[in-house]
Amino acid sequence: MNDEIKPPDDTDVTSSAETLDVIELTMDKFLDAADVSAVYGEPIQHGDTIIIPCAEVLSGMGFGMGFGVSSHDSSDEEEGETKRDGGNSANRNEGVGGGGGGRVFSRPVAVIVASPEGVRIEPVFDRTKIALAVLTTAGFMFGMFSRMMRPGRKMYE
Amino acid sequence: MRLIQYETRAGDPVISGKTKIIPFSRALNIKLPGLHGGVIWNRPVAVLIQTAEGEEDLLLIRDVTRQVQWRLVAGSILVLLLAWFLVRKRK
Repeated sequence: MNDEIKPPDDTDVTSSAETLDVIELTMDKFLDAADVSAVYGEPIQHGDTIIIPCAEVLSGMGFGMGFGVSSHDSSDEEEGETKRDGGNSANRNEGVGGGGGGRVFSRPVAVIVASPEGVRIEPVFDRTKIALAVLTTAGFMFGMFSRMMRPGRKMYE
Repeated sequence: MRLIQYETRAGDPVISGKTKIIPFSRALNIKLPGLHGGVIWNRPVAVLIQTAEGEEDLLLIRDVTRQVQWRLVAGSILVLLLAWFLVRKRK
């Protein structure tokens, strides 16, 4: 009985290589998020003044893929009897899977204003985020205070 | 590429009249080992101003929103610690 497992044929190798190329290309574009150009926007000319927006960028990405091959001989249900059809009795099952995902967050931080009077930096104050932070902090503190003020329970009577 | 990279980069200068503005950013790059992926946190840190007279000035870019958030967290932790000490003392 021959249980030889054949390696994937050329088409499978080619498609896997192409997939890896796509992944590498996407990773290169993902790494562009670490560049200065991702943080500073294009300068905007307004008369004698140039305005440069700048933002904080947080990005995450992940890919994965797998390939599997299994083979088994087709056999009769009667025990001990196997059928052979020209030596190619193995049923070969193949599977390829892959997935990936990513997310990019961007938040304005400041604006650089360059005028004939000089260069100054105007910070961006995000009221929404501050309000959310205040609410979250207040809720957390209220919860902790409630736990602290609760009378201790007796474990054993 | 190393697993964790923390680097400061300079961008292309911007010319405004006789002034040259060079932006700087700082990026934290974490690569997931064994996987195709990672996390990048990139933020602006400062700009270098170069005038025609040869003077240089470094302006720091402060993230006011982030500072307020951190101060809120730090203040709440301090208040909670203080309250916990006081409650323990009373008991």
